Amino acid sequence: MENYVIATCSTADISLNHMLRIGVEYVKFSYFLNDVEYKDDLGQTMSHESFYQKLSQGCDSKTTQPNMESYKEFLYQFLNEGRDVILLNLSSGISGAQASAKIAEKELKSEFPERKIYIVDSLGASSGMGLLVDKMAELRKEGMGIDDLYAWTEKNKLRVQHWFFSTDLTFYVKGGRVSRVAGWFGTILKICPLLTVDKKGKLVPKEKIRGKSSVIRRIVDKMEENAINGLGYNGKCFISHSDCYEDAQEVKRLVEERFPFLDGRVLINNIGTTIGSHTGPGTVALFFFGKERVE
Amino acid sequence: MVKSKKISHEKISGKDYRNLIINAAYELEKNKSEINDLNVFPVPDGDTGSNLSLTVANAAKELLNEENQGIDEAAEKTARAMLRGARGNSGVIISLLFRGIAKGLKNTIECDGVTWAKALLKGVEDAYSAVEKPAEGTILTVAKKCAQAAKTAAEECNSFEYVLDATIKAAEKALQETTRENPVLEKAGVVDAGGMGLLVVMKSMHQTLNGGKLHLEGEASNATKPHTGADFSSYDTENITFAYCTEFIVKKKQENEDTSGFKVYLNTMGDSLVMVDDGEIIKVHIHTNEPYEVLGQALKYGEYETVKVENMRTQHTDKIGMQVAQQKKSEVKPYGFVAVASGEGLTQLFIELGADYVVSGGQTMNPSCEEIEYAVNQINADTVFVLPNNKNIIMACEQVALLSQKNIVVIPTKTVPQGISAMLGFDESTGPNENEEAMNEMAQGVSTFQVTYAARNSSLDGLDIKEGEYLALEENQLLESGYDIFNIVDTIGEKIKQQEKNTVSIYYGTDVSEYDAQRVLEELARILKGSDVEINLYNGGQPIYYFIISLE
Repeated sequence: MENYVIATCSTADISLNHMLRIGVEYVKFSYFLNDVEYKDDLGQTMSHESFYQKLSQGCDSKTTQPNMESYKEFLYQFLNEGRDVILLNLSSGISGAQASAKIAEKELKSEFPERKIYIVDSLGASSGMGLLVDKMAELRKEGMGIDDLYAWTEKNKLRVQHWFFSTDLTFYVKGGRVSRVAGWFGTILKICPLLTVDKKGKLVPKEKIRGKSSVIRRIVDKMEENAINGLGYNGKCFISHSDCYEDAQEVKRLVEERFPFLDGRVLINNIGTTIGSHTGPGTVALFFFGKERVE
Repeated sequence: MVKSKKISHEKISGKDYRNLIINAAYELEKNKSEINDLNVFPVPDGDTGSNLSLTVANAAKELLNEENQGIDEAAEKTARAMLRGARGNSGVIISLLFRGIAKGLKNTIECDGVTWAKALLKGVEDAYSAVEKPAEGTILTVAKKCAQAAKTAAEECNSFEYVLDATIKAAEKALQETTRENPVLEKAGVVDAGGMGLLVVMKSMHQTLNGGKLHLEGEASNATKPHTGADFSSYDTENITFAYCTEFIVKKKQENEDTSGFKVYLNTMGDSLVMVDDGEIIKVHIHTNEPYEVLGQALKYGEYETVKVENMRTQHTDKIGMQVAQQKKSEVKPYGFVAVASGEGLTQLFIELGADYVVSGGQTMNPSCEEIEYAVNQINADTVFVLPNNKNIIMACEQVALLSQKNIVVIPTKTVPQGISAMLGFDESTGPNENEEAMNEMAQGVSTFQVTYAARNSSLDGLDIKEGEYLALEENQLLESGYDIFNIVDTIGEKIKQQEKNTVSIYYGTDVSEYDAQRVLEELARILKGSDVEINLYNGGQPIYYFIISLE
């Protein structure tokens, strides 16, 4: 097997076991929960359950991206062992992490001129990054070298489709990740906004749907519209959710019912503490390979 | 009461025309119940007689003060006043008819038979072209046949009265024929209500010409007083110093910010001030003439939670309850929204969805073009979307769009749920055309069931309906009737099951208690058990409709 390192961020929202199994490293974001700093270590220090419980109780969580030094330290350990690294980073559309990583890359390159360092702006988030990095690990396993993998990733990253809905947008607004638009926040009317991630890696509200059952169906319609080969889609499909496992289960059930050629079962992940600080509880996100994002 | 002078029957003057219109308004008011009773649909709705009466009354009022003028001027005034005052579809059609007549009378001082016939033809042409899908067996058909008869008569004898006589005869005949031309009328065995209204207008013209009493002032204004209308021209006749009862709650940007300065300011803006500041929110009640100024100042302290502005001069008519949401008049925004709705709950929902104005109105109380236009004019936006939310209000909204200088887009929503869905289809980031399309598409995607009562006995669509029974409608079509509400709910439940949609919303009306509404919800839930449907209950507070149920 190729000896280079594939790395991503703790925001890729796949489990620690999953990362270990496919041999992917991750850089930790951190968050302050009521002014106490925690590392986003995929639920080891704090379980997802207790994290969301604290949010629901009104605890305030603020996230911080790894700074340039953290990226340097993280990448240094691999470079120092003489290994090349490709890092799939959180979307520049929602975080400044990409800028920090690029500075780290520049400095490390002069220190390790013979090593290859690729920093890829995933233009994605959550298990969308997870789905992409999972695929990257698979390609490495099949023997693809780091240069080709870098080219492949750049070429295909916009094919990762992100669709998600929330029953409560309070946290999104607070985090400044979506702008407040008239009519979007019909709390009385139980409006569940359906959002996507655009080609710039930004969150974009797409539709306003009334009622959870309706939005659950709508999100699966979106998969049919956008997946490679529509209902004949034969790639993997990931779901992530923030403290609403039953809703995620229902989406999974419908996806498996409608897409008979899926590669394996639909994988349900937790939305981790970093992304979760911004979504709050009540978000379900669906990821698959599909049409390239052009908007 | 003034006795009219002898009128020349060969030609009529501007004064004659004025008198004809004033008397027509009187006669319509007198006959409105009879016209209303022709309404075959058992659903209580904006009755044709009342709507026509109010529409023509607006013209009569306008003409009262001016006797001496050319007929062109009188006709022009009539048309303008009718267009503004038009209520309901029949009101809009008659106003269009009179607009065409005014065009036909341009540069005419006195009108003879030939000119009148031409004007009528022009009127019919105008009305037909304005109506998207002109139906036969309606006021339009009656008007058309009258105009054809007028043309023939004018060729025989160029006398106004001769031509008028011929049109009345034609109208009587045409009215009888509406029964057979329109299948709905045929089943019920009645003539068209709008056509009947037109006949009343023409007969009253004939009577007036032949020395009938002129019903001025007291009688006319009594007869024509809109029992539901808001009279925007009568503000200064009343003794209210500060017109707008303005109430709002602002959630403060900074807790515990000192607001005593705001209170001093408010005291200079009106009276009856009550202001409560509990640190987090400020509650204000004030009577003022400048609600926008007040609301603008309030924004400095934070965001609105609710805003309510009512015109106290029109409150006694129990009519106009326009509500303003987050209105800052000085800023031009790309999009604005006017919705028509009644009931506090529904009004609040539209405001939450982003409506800038909610014009009070709906079934049985169709707002006039003027009221809708007033609302549109309060919004400083490049494009204003208007949601009629009732099939009988669509034409009035379209009329406003035609008359207004503003860029108005009417989304022809026929029910409240269609209006709500249309609002959900809006996307700030796209253009007016895309939005119009998306909003229309969303409105079409929702199913509406409504439960009301039968306003009259009727036999329709195979149902034998007794006055006072519950009536269920699906997309405004009769679905079921009966005295047991649960049977009605069961029928609706079965219909819901047939559709592949998952979200049911029940908006209960002002005449239903929360307890009863809850029982209806439980019954519906029982019927829908096993299907993947989510049901939510909302207090709509609307009159007439006990329940409005949407499925999307």
